[in-house]
Amino acid sequence: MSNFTITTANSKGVFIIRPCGYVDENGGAAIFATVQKALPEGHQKFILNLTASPVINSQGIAQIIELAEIIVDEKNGELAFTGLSELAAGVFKMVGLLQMGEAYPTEQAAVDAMAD
Amino acid sequence: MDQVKDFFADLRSPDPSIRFSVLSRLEDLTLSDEQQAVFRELLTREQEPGIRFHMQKVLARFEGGEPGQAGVPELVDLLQRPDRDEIALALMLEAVRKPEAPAVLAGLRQAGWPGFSPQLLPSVLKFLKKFGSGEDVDAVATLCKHADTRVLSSAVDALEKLSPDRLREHIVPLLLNESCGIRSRAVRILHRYDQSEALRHFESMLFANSVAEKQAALFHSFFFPFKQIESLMLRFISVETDSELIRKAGLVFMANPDRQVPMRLLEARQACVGEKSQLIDTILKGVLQSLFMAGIVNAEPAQMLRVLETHFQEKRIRLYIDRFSHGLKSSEVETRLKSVLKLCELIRHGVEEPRELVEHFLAGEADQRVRQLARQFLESGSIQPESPAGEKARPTSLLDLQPEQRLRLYDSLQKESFAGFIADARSVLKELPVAEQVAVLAGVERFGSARETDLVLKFLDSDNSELMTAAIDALSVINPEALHPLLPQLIKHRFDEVKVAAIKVFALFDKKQAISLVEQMLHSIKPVQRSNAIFCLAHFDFASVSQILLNAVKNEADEENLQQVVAILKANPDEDVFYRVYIEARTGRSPRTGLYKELYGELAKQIVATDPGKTEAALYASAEERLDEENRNRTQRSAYQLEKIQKIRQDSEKKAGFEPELIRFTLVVYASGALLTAFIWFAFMAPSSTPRSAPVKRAAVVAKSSSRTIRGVIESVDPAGRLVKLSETGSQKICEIIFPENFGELPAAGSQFHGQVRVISEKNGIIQAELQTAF
Repeated sequence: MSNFTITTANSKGVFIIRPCGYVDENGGAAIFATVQKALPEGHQKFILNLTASPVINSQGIAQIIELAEIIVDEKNGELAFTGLSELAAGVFKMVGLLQMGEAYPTEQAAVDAMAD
Repeated sequence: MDQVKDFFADLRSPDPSIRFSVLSRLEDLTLSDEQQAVFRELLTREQEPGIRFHMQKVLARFEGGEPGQAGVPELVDLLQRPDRDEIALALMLEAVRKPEAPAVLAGLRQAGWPGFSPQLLPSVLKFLKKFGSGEDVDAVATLCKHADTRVLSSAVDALEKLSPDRLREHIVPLLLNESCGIRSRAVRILHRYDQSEALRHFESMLFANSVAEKQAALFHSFFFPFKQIESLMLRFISVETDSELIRKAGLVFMANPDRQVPMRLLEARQACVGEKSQLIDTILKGVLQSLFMAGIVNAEPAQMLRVLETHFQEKRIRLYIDRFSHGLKSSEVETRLKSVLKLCELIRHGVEEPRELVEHFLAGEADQRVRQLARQFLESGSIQPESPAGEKARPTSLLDLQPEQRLRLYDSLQKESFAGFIADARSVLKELPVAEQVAVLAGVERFGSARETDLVLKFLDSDNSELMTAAIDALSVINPEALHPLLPQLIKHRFDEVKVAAIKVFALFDKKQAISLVEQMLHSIKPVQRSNAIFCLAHFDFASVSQILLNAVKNEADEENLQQVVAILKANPDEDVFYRVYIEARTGRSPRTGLYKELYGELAKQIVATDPGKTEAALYASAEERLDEENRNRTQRSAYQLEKIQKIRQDSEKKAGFEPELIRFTLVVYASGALLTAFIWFAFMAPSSTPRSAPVKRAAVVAKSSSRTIRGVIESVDPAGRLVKLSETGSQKICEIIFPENFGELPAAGSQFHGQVRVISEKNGIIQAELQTAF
């Protein structure tokens, strides 16, 4: 997706990823790569803010599941989601992603809950 | 959203694999005191030892707080002790961090972990998934055959991480597993090695009779590339009757917005009524919204919907013209006449497309009567312009008019003028010529309401097929429920046109059955019957019938019918159909290779024309890949071929042994009402061509073994799990009955129950069963 972008931020020891645009296979891969890059830097707590990405397709979901497994299972880290559209929330619930990371109504709420 | 509440609802599921998967989700949550109390109550009801263990472990964490950082020596010591506290050990294993993992791994191996209890093994396997190595692969692989679903499922998880290729050798046993959750997982694994066969397994699960099986297939649908399952999912939405399942399938569409899907959904929406129509409408609008939000299209959803609806109408008209333009080439004079009159009728309704075709036909038509009647109809709207003989003047305004004036009146009917018109027409309708009565019924169809039901119902006693068809069409719009109980008779009517109209309406209530009836018609030895079936198929949404149409291309012997089928396929440029036709043509299995070649060529052109993002070259390249894969896998797939797996499963099951038709029939009873379905069963579906005695005997034996009638007083009702607990009169046995969703409202505690159930299990005086019918 040509319009897809990602910005990142750090807040209180939490690494925040803010994708913008349709999360298809390429978008998912970009998010995945962002996390892969952040892990060796010592980040363990991640927030995926999907406010500007209301649509995530199956392949995008597969990538997010994979990165969630890496963060939560392999690295014993934490993952949270925020800005989930109604559609994304339904899909995350259906595929079990909400078992791997909690959903928060706002990015700030997620940061506050996860901060050291 | 109340996540915990949803999890608790799933914990009431009759499927242990679902309950187990929910527990994994609950593990990491923090529960309030109130929620912990509910959880404890659920624990008291849990019968499965493995799940009880897992629940106790979750509860121990809630009650004891986060486990402390267990020392490795303490953990290793615990591993060696046969009388160990397994719950404590499971909790300690989960708390191990990476630096301690090698020592714990060594301890596990030394303690012979594969011999641990089935309760503890899932925790060990979870640990191995995280920290295991190649050394553990063989032991983990062995557990992929474990009888306990929890152990097996955890072993598959671990092996997938440690050595995914080793899973290949377990595909067949996993596909044969009793748990549909495991089977659907196996299908996902198979997809890595043989996509087309995996999709056939997926299709079989998606269209199974069991709701649990469909649920499992839907859950895994997100893990397949959407393009590969799009057609299946569309067909699923189209024929499924369970609202919850349709909603879940809708999510898959909305999350995967595709330009071609909205038109297909619109077709599906038009092909149903009531709640289902609303559900599909919601999904359609959701997909349009996703297309817009994902930036795939720039048009606002409402604007796109308007365009789609216009295209849909145009497509319907094109199909109608196609059908009757073929009739113009018939050697039968009456068929040509009927066809040209239908096309003239369209012109009179303001559709100009067929005018040139009709003029061309009339210029070359040899039969003078056909020419004359068609011209007359085109000008006046009637082939019977004179008023009925002996008609006396009446003081009613409609009959006071000249026939031409009345025809103009019918043509100019509007919603606003309809009420006044029908009040006038009601008393004299039967005295009008047949063509005018048909025109009035068409007016009722367009502008009428349930108030005209009685008036229209009278026409169902007519001897005239056109009147009956018009009445069915009108009732299907103004009051389909009133038509519902009459459909069994109409479906087997002597007039084919009536039969077709009735099937079209029946499809609104139960599309699966309707399609099945059309398939039966399609196997008729009479070409006319098959032609009517094809006409019916054109009226169903394409996704539901594309496979039937492809089969018809293989089997249809009548050239005119074959052309009709091909016309429908061409009118629905579908990528999946393109690939199937391509493979059929290129494998050279069929004597109709030429026809397939022409068809896929045309489909490729149309797919590209409707989707600017696609090219013919890319389509053909993709088709070639599929063909290669098909050829490659054909030799390898014998072990896990769908039919073989189904056969083994059928043989191994201690068959509850209902006839598949009877099971379908039972489901229809819930959905369509017992009376109607009973008629349909006896009229169409009950096996009749083979000698009766053997099947009857078999059915009787089978029914005795798994089905029973139960009478008793309801003790408690669990609406979330749709579980009704009762005490059986006489035996005093406790009976837990699952009520299917489509049964509707659950009975109240304290009330009497009398019904037939399918027994799932009977242990320690407790019967677990599923409701078949309530008396």
